[in-house]
Amino acid sequence: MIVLPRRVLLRGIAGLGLGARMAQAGPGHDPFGPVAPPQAAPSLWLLRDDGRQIELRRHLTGNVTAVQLMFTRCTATCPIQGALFGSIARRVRAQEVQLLSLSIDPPSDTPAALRAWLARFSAPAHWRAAAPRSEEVDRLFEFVRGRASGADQHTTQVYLFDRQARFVFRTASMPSAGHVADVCAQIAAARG
Amino acid sequence: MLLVAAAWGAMACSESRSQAMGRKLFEGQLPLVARLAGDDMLLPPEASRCANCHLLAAAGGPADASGTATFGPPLTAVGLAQPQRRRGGPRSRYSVETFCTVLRSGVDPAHILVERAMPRYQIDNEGCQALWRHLTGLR
Repeated sequence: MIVLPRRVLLRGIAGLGLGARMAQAGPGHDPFGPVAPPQAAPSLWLLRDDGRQIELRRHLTGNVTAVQLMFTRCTATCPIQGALFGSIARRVRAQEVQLLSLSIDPPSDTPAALRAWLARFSAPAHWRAAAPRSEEVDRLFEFVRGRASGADQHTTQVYLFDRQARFVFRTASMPSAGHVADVCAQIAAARG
Repeated sequence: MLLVAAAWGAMACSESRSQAMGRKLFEGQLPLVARLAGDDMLLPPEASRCANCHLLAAAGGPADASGTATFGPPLTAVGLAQPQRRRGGPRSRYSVETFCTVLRSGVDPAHILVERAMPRYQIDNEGCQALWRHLTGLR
């Protein structure tokens, strides 16, 4: 487990202009809280549920984005993660916050599979799904530190990016929808 | 004698029905009402099935994940009823009462909170006893 020094954490929060409430990330034992300093999203190409190829940074730019790792054949935690994103999607302002489910299984998660995944949870328009190229899955894992042992292979944390496509916050595992929506609103209010 | 046999048969039959109910709850043929801890969101039935995390995944996942492990601990009679260390706590074993407690509140028999990925179930005594009987093979 990586523990950031308290000074670094506080400087990161202050730098983002985020409230003290944001430091109170949800329960859990994973490293979570503000990412200090914010990190620019890596240059990764995604194939989105609508069949369009788009760079990750471009997809993230302009909106606060909540990102989760998943794969559509996952039967353990992913159905819960899907329900969680459904709840988050209903709580956030669609004008300023978008959601992105990122697959770690590109060979199976074609645009059609991703569309079916979104349909299972009645995803609104501001919730999209995409898969990176197979050879770039490891880079994605490393960037968000999203690898986990066990059958699902990925964490159940939610990764938050500001409007400039900078990684600014990671939640605890399987956070509450209300907590994620609150932090998204604070990132949006910070005009990042 | 016939009366005793009939009564025993009726009881066995009744308990078998309970086991069948437990199997259906475990596999999701009967829906379970559940939420994430600290969240008011009701999980859809497909997300709250016990078998999702406590059976070897039939479909499997990327790379070598297919069929190699369960996400949650496998629920067997031995694993539940034999004393063992769970989540770094002291040795403990489940009874039907503590099994119902962990389903409802997430607190295990050693009084340790299980992780948030385990839903908290709104399940009555009949339901959790049926699950217990199914998992432990008790008639």
